[in-house]
Amino acid sequence: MARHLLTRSLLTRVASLLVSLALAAVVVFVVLRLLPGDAAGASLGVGTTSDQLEGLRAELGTDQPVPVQLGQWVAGLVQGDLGTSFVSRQPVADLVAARLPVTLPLSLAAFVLAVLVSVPLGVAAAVWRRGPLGVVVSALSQLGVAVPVFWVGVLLVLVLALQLGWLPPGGFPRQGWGDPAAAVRALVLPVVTVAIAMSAVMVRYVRSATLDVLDQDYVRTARSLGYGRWAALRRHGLRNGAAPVVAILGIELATSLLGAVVIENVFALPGLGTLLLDSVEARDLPVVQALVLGLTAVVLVVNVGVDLAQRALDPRLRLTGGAR
Amino acid sequence: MTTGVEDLAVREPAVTGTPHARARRWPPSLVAGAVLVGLVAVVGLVALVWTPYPLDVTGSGPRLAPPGGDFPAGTDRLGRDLLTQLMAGAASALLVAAASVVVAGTLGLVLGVLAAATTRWADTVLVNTVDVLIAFPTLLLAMLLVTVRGASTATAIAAIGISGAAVIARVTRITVARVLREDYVTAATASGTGWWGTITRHVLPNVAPTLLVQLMLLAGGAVLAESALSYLGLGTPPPAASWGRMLREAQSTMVVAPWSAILPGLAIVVLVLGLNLLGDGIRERTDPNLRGDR
Amino acid sequence: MSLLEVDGLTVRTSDGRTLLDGVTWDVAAGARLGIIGESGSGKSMTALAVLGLLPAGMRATGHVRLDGTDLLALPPRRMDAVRGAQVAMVFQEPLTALDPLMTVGRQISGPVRLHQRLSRTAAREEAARLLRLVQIDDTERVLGSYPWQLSGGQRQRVSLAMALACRPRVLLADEPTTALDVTVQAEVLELLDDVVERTGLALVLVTHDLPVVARVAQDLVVMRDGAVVERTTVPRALAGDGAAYTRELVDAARAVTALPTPEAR
Repeated sequence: MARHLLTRSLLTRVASLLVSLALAAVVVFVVLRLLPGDAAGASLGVGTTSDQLEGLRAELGTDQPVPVQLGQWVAGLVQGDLGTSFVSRQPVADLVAARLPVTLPLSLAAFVLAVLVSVPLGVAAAVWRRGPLGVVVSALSQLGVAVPVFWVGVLLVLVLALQLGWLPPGGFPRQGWGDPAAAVRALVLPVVTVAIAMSAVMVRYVRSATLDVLDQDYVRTARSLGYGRWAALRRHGLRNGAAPVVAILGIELATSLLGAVVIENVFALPGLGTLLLDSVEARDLPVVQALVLGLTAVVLVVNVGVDLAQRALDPRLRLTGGAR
Repeated sequence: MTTGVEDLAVREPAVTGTPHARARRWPPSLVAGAVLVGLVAVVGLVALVWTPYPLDVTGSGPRLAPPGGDFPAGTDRLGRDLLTQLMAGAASALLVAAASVVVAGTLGLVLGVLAAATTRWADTVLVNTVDVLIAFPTLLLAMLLVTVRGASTATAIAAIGISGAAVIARVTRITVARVLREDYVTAATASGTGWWGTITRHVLPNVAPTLLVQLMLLAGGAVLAESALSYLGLGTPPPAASWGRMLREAQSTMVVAPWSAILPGLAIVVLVLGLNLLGDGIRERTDPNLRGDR
Repeated sequence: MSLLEVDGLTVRTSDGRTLLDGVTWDVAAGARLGIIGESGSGKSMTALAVLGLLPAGMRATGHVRLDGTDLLALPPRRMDAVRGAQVAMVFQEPLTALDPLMTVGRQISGPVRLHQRLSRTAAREEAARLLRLVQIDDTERVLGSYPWQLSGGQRQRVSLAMALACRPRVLLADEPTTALDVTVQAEVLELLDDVVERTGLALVLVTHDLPVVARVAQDLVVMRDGAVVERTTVPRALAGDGAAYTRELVDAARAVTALPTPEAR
């Protein structure tokens, strides 16, 4: 019975993910087609002859009605064809593949670093909530969530790169990961920047989740049975605190990807973020729509992952098929 | 009935440290937040009628002059006065925050109430739309709109407002649904209060504190989002002032003029911190369940 | 010969309010003491202070002697060893007092393993024995269940089994039946009675409910506003001897329930 419910809830979740993805694809596509004039004209700019325009329209397929274009795009997506850039005439998939080796390590490393910093700090801040550590951590995270990510990057560049000269202020080695040491050095400041911004948010959630557990009667029960302060927290906190923390980790995993998009522009890194920004400026619709949909898809998939992880952690959701 | 003695019980003040009544009425975060936001608001209002120099005139002074003398905050690479830009930036940051909050608040409130208080069908449609919208990051929505409409303050406000509306709609829907289940609302309906009367008399007053807190946090988020967009060149275009764009312009000169990369950032932090603290303060003041030490 | 002696126990908050004022009582091994008072009278706080589990920001002074050792003077680590093994507690609301994400088996065998070095399987057998002690028969099912899958009465039995896991010499029961249905209340009280009978531990029953005390306890401490009004016995209180406040409580309780008359006892 329990297994049946679990499978069914999984199927429901995947089905609603597909619906959301389809919805997002339609929205992205339609919004971009609200462009005044048309996509081909926009990408050529002023001073084009109408012959050139007609030719380009036929080549790009923008002379077709919007629903037909949408159909072609979706059909392509299903077959793994992300489209072709209006500007560079390269397949979008190739452009993305060239940029992933920067963006993926950047956001994953920032996420891992942020978890390693914020989980212990948040727990400690909750346990010693009235002590100096608790107060300092709370104040710092309050400040941290008010600081723009890119400004953290600017400040780090100013001090660590320009004043002290410890690390490069930006850029990525031309050989990419062919020069691993240089690539790592180029990513240190961006990773730290994104991680600082994420930690400020995560510390607050970890602290509050831990406080919630510490306030629970069952922790007092554990203390009354002879468990020490930390032993009681370890016995009950891991599982009970995990569900809310997993939720925030999921959101932050998505945030780390978006943080990377902004931060790449601070550090002039050739990643997805700079690709996206360049494409927005050039109105390169196929690239913009593929990237926006791709990043949204990541967020949606992570949400499903979070949901499933919470089910695994909490038998109440698992065994009752729990409507949330 | 076995709880005979309980009936006689005299309620003593709760044992777990009640914060002083005074501290509850004016929580420190509320005061601090009001001071910070008030500061920025005053500067922004002054900037509407007076700035030390005209905003978009280049060469008011020497290029990249350090702070001091005629230019308390220094000048940029075109010789423009930075204090003038900072002051005008306060006005536009507040404008973006206020406009985004109005868009998000109105749209979110209407959708949330409709979802909670009307048909089951409307509720399902709305919940799913809102879920997709929330998964759709503000920054990406802004990029989509900028691709279509070009970079402008209005585009930024629209993107931030729509994203915010999704959050507000979700909060409103949950809160309204909870209030509608309360006994006193059922009683009011039973005694003939109409749908509209129930909403205005019982639901809105109960939803207001939660919404106010959310809107404050949203305002802080709006300032951050606008500054990020302007920093990327997708927000407020010149000649209007914007802290985010000041930072973008300062980046190429920050080796020789570090102050130009520091002051606008500090201004953003002051305003966002103020709005966040204001939100926390309102929550502490209105939420009876919240304890003093959170 | 008293086993647990509370002597001049006083609790103050950090901002100087006095919540408990000079509370004094004692209980001998195998005896049953009832502490009664209205909500806010400080009876539950007395129990928490004995265990050294006051909420943050409160300080206890005075003496809590177990076999002559002053618990209030013990360093935190030694106090951890006293809790559960010497003095244990059953709380009012079994649903929140048990961890919703942990099976009953793990919740009971945890403290067993903490205080007695037992293997996992041995601890599990001990947990099953404890469940039988609190009169739960389908031990295998209950051990594998989560607290929210059990009935209120079963949950309180499980709480009791946990408290008994390390064979404490004193059991503090704070309103153990208040959250339960009337019929289940009676069963749990009978069970408490039976456990004291069989294990010879000292029971301190904290409640606002006079009929509950009257069923289980002999000695009685009446509390009001953080202080002890009087120390008496249940028969004397029911007979109307002693403090005026105690008589008030008895009369009020009698107005709504059938209390045993002194003669019937």
